[in-house]
Amino acid sequence: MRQKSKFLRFIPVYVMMLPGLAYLFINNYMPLPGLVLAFKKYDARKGIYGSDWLGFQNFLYLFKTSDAWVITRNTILYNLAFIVVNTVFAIAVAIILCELAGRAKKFYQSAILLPNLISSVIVGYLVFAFLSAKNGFVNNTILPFFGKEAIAWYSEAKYWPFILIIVSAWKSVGYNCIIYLAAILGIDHGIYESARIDGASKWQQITQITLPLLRPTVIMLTLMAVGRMFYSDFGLFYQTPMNQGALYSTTNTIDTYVYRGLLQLGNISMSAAAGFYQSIVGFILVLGANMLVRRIDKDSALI
Amino acid sequence: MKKMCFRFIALLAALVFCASCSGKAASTPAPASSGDAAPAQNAPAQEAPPAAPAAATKLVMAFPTWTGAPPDTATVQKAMSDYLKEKLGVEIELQISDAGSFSQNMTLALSSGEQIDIMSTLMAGYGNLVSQGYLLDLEEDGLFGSYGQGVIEAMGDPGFVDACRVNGILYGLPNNRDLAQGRGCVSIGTEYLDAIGYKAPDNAPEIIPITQAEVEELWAKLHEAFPDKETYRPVAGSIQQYTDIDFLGGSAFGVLLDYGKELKVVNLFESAPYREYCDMIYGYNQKGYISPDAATDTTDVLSLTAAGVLVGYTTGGKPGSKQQESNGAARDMTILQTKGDLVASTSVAGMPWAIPITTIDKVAAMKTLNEFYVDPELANMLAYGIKDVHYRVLDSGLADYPEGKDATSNGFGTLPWLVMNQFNCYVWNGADPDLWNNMRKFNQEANKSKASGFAFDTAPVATELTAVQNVYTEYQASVEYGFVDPAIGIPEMNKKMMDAGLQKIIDEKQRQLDIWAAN
Amino acid sequence: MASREDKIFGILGHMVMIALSVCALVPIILMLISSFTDNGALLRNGYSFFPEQWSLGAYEWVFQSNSGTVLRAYGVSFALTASGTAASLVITTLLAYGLAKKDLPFKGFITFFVFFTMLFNGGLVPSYINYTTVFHVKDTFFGLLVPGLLMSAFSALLMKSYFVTSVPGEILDAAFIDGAGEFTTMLRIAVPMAKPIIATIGMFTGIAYWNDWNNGFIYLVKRTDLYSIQNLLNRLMTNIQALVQNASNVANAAEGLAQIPTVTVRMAMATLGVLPIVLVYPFIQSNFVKGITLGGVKG
Repeated sequence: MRQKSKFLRFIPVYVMMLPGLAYLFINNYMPLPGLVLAFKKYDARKGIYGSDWLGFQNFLYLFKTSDAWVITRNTILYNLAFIVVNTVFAIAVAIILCELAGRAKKFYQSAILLPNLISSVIVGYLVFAFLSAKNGFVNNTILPFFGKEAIAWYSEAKYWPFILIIVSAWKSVGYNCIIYLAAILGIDHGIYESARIDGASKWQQITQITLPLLRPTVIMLTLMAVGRMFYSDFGLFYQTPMNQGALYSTTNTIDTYVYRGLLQLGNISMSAAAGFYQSIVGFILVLGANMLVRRIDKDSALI
Repeated sequence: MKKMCFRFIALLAALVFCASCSGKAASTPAPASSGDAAPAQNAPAQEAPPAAPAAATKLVMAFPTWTGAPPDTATVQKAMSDYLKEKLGVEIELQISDAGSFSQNMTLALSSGEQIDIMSTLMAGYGNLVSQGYLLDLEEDGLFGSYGQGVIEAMGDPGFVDACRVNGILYGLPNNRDLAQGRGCVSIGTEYLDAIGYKAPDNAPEIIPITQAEVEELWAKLHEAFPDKETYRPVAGSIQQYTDIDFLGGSAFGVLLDYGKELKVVNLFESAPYREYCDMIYGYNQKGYISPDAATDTTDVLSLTAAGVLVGYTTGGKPGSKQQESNGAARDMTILQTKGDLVASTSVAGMPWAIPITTIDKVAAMKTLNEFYVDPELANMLAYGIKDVHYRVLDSGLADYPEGKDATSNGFGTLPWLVMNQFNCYVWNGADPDLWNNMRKFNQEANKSKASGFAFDTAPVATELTAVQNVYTEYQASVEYGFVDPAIGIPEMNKKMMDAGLQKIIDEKQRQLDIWAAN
Repeated sequence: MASREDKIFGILGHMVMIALSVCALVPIILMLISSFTDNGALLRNGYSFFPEQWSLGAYEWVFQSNSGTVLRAYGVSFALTASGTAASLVITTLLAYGLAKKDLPFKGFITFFVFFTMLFNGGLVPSYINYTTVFHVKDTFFGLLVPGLLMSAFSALLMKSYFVTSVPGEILDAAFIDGAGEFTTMLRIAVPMAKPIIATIGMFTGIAYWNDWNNGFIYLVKRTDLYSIQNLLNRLMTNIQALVQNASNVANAAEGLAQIPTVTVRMAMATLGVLPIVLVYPFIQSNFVKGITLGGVKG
């Protein structure tokens, strides 16, 4: 009885939620049965559901290769590096921006956001402009200035983890810091006032107030990133190294591997299998991480 | 939370299961030969085909161009429809895509049952389309026999049509164009050759035969005379253009050597010609002919030559080559050839025209397709647009841009060599008026790969192919563009490919080839 | 009164931000300069901040050979970004507000329903079939607007957590007891307090719509006149990529590559894609900051 009246009370809330839920249903749930494609030998004559079952054969190509270890390792390590580097950068920039005032602040914020608006192919060209063997700035201007030998950037795989992390930070800091900016601005100013009266230094305010209060946001964003652990930004890993074979040992990820492998085959079942694999691993990882977070700090957990 | 998560997943599983069952039920009665019904995908996809008995059947024809639909597509479509309505009672809709999106567009459209009646398989991959069941068997219900005989006549040789069979079934029709390719051709700016004092022999043909040693000598002199320019730039297709290797089934994994004279599948990466080629390019690189950026920079050789950066490059020779290269490179080019001409095994069936299973009227589609082969009016319209609007015919009988227009400002133009029967089109101004006859002769006199018409079914080795393909892209640029010593690079690549299953692909190719040859 | 420490912090802060801004801008300036470089000079000397030869050729090509196309694409981009962001904010806020309700029945289930979509979808082909055969968005403006972009679970959950932490439930309950309806409570009390996050999500959504080319690539086949500015740029790029990758299979790939506009044109297109944001962003930003200061300060 009480349950029912409570339910009735919330009817307006359900109605308010309806458009969003309906959209998710249409966008994500309605095509979901199509996931069976990953287990089929697709034949257009029979349609997705009528095609013959293949079991896990479409998944084999992801594992039956000497590169399986390399692509999995790269994907995971880069994601971990991006989570750490981009979070630290974004928080640092957000904190600094909050302390500054005036027109300059606006300028900074616009400037660092701009890289996010550049298409990844163009980013590839720009990186090439810096690193090209013949005309690149780094080889022709910067390295000679320090008295160093020119480096063949596009054939030395060992530099690329750094280059890709820098490019990723360059692209995403301005974007990521917006969330933290909003979170910091949402913190009650009274806390800072009283801290200041108590004689807390700026550094103490940051470490004692701002950072702890950002923790829920950081945890939530990290959890979300963990769910994408087996995905990689295709544009970053394919376009930035200009698809250079010599760099695969440090630039090949699951997404680029699948793309290159299926380019000539055009097999939609096999690409569906890759997507399914990435989703399911992400799902397991995020549930695990979430459980861990719940144990430590219940309020920060995602679900 | 755990419990809820389980419940949720159980619910989803049930949903997927139900959908897949109902989908199956819906698709079982749909026979493979359903020519006029969209393929059963899921229930909503099955819409009744538009019933229009009184009006003309409207067919959709899809093909790519390099840069998408020209601005005047609608006008040409209208003119073409008017013409076809009178002749065959059909109207036509031209669905012209960008080269970069055509494959994706077609896969999606055909998987969701959208109407497409005639399509080109350029960029979309004929073999892939066949293996995923997107294309109609053209001989089903005597379709080709009753309505397609003009095609055989236009091609001049039923063998060309048969070359498009996959496992004996005809899914596509070849387009009439340069089917052979002059191997071992290099294209060099004439002004540079003049500068080093090279003189073409008197009465030299358009493509000048020359020995490999002479070419080497030319490169050396050119490099000496123009040290600031790139002498030579290898590209992805150079290995095929420079050698007499036949890439069987369109891939480097299992090839035929020596113009495909023998049906023996060989591992390219252990073959002598491959090693020779790579050694040669490695030598070029050591001598400084090749830019250190060659592996990274994707700027095409024609633009580089036009900008005066590059002296020469490899090309595929054919009648009209000199004209084509000179136009692209914005300067007079000289074409030299060190090897013979070859009709490669995949050349004829490289980009056939096909009728997808989502056609609404296969008879009308076949009749229309046939008409494009036999009717010069239609061929010209498809290639160049409307006469006196998009092109004009000169007194010499050649076609040219209308007064005051050029390639960029003209309203219509597609890829002339993609048109079903290019030999029915006007020859474009600047070329030899006798181009089509030369081309026919060229096709006939070239070496023909014995495997011409063999199509490789990739399905049994799809897993291995993805792995081997990844290894190849890893090494291709460094080995084939001369950035790595072939003595080290090739064995390393080969070993990695073998580990990834290359031998299995080669064996499978040989097996399919033997079966194909036996029939 | 600013202490010495504050001053030092301020100066350091400015220095760091100036350094970061320079790093962010230098490549973009290079892009701008490349678009004004003569194509031949660019091919000869590579990219340069001080080109041997300046040229307006790229922009001439863009505006002459595509008369109207670029302007129309701008129109589409603006219409798409504005309508998409507005629609997205409305449904996201409504959903997040509900998810943040403390004692909503079935809340766990609904949250999971939302969360699940962050990890799973049907994949490209099934989504395409769904949108084209059930909803008929192909070759319509809705094809750009709806698939994938209209609302993300990420935004909804982000906003929900902001509601939970920064909009106290007691205030909402009080308003409700005072007789305000659920919708009024949200609009009058919750939304003003959540302005920072709404502005943030608005920015994210706006950028996602502005940057998107994928929907146009997939859902616009015949109606290329509905291409956004990013689609125009992307079609150049994908055409080049397709030709380079198929060079060994398509004999005439070199001819095709030569037909595709030059590097400088690509740079000009990229510049044109960023330009409006450079012009419009300061205005958005001042409203953004205003929104944040109005809503965020609770002390």
